[in-house]
Amino acid sequence: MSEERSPLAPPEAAEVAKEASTTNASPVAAAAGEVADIAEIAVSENASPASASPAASVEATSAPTVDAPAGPAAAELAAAVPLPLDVGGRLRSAREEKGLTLTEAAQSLKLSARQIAALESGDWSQLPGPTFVRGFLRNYARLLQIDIAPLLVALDAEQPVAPPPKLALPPGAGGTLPQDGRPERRDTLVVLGGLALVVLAFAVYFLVPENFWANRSANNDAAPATETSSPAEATPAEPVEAPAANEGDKALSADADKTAPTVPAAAPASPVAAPAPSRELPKDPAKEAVAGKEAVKDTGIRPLATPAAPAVQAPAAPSAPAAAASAKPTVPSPAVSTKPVSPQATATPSALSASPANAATSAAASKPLAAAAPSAPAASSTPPAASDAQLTFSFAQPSWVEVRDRSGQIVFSQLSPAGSERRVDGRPPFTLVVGNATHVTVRYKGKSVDLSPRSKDDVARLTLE
Amino acid sequence: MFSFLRSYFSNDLAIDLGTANTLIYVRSKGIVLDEPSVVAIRLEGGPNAKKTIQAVGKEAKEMLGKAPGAITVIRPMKDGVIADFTVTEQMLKQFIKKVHDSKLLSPSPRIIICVPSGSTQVERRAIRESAIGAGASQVFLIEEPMAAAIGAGLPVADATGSMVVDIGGGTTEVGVISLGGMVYAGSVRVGGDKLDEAIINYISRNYGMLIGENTAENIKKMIGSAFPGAEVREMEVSGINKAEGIPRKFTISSNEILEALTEPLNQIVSAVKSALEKTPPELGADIADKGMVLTGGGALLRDLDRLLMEETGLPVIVADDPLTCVARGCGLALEKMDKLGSIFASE
Repeated sequence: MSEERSPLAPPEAAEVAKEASTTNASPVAAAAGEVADIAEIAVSENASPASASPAASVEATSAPTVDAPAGPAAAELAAAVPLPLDVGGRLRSAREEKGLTLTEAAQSLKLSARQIAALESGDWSQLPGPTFVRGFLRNYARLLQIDIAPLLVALDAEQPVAPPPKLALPPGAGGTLPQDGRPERRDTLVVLGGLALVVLAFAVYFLVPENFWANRSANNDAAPATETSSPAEATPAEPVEAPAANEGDKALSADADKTAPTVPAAAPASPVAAPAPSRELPKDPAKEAVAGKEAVKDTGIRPLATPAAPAVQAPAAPSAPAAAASAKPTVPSPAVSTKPVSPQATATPSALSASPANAATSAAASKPLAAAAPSAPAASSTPPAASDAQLTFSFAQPSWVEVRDRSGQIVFSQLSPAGSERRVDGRPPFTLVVGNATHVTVRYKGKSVDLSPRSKDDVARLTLE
Repeated sequence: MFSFLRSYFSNDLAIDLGTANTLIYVRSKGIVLDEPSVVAIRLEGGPNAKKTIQAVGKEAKEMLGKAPGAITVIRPMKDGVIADFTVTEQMLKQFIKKVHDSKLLSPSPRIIICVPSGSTQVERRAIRESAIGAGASQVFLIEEPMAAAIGAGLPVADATGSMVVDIGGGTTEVGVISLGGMVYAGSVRVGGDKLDEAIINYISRNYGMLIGENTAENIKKMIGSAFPGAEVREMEVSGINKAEGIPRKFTISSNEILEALTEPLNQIVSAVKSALEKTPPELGADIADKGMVLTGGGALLRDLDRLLMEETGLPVIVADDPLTCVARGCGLALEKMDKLGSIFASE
């Protein structure tokens, strides 16, 4: 019957509904008086909206649902035709058919009226979840005495497929509280970090060569020295000068000696030597030349003459002034680091009559090492950086010292008694092992070397450039 | 080391080792076994006298109360826990053998097995040991209310209170669950068995008739109800008349059964009420909104939900397929076993 009416226009529908309800009501009244009452209510309900035409269409649909099962014939008809209503609609119609209000239904189901309304409107999101929707529906259907099975089937069709219940808790924030008996993770980190540091320290201690830092600092020290000396060598790099430069490289100590045979040549030659030692004994080139002259005289006597002497050639002489000139600029810079020797050296010219050896010696004597004394020329010759160098040890207590030269050969290795002094000549760099280091004083190139930073267990290991 | 290989060859199992029924869920297969927890043991005489297992499960249950002296029919579980350790172990072994088709390798699956929330440490240890004895390589325990809630599809991991009442054969478990854990768990040793017992006692007292356990269970299933309904049903029952000693038939009505069941049902109701009392208020509000969910075979007792609804004034719903809820919950936990920590019970 409802199908017949629904397509009709609202005002007509209202009229037809009215008619239909009246026609329905009459057989029903014959069948059962109680049902007739309901039908009459339906009629009255229908009648009132008939005057209010806008609401008629709504009432038209609700009216047939109320009166459809009113009589046996109508019920059969309704059963024969598939219900067009959704689950909520079926529940509502069944409830209205029972004459229950929302509140009454809610009371008997122990639910809130809001939940019942949500059930009837199919608003599943208002309900606690699929399990509960099914449960409520089952209870409601039982209350309304309607068959639950088709409702549940329809519900499954209406409701989106429920995802399987989530069992896992939402992921935590990542923190872990300390547990009794178990080390905290932070602790293990600290312990591991500490262990790593210890291992690193051991690795550094055993793997890094002991003279590593010594080399580093020596290199740093050497750098300016070579810089200052290099110009002296570089300027002679003019082809003519080459022999002189070689000479300077080879045996600076011989500088003085080589001048011996050729006195005139010696004068220019010594300035060449002068720039190099300038670091140690910076002097005015002119004065130095004088000193050199003197030295030449002296060294002529000395047995230190080396084969280098013949190397000195006439060509060197002309270039000597140039070398001296070039040496000049180098002089001022080392002059900064001059030792008190220089004034003394400058003083020497005034006392030229004094033996040159004395002059040289005085320079050497200004250093604490008396060892320099016997080799006055050597004192002036030690400065040359790249040539043979001299090490001096003085022992306050017995000590064992080993010195290796550039080739790694042992040039000195012995136990020296207390109070003794030892001089070692060789080609740098020297590798030193000094026992009882606190009681040994080492001088190298005229400077005393501080052993304490490189000593361990009172044994110093170091390399001197 | 080779556990991954072993688990490759033998599927993991979830077992609902219930007082009345044992259900086994196999990973990715679902529930494959649903049998009564009954074992029939035959005592063989003669020179090689020994005890052998005559039957387990349905066959054994049919023998219950009908077996000759040489066959003992045992229900090894009582009140949700193991009453006979060796028989339980044998029964589990038989069931596991049934669900494992692999004949080459003896099965050694990982097993999730549920325990009543009120069980003692000794009882849990016994269940664990019997599962290991039955061939499990590892055993994880899960409390029954938790498994039931998972099986019923409750949002156990959410921050909302869910109340589940699992009425099993031996125990009634009441649990309030939130955030993947049990906020409250209560257990009373009243279940289907107690209801049967109450019916037997009632008939014996009022009719002077003796009936068996299976008959009492049938009566409960057919006409048992927990709340007086409009409809009164009747059933014809046979038993032994105590006075005459002769089997007789008589008719019993649902109202009488309701009367018989009142006492055990009241225990269930009071367990639910005390759970509600002890639930924190915030969770109580959630429960008032959603109501409680009934699972387990007891939920099938007619109008039990109405009884609880009237007694508590809260909505009560019966889960879909309540008999298998615990097993399905165990199974879901099994599927996600490696990711879940909080839902498992410690010993």
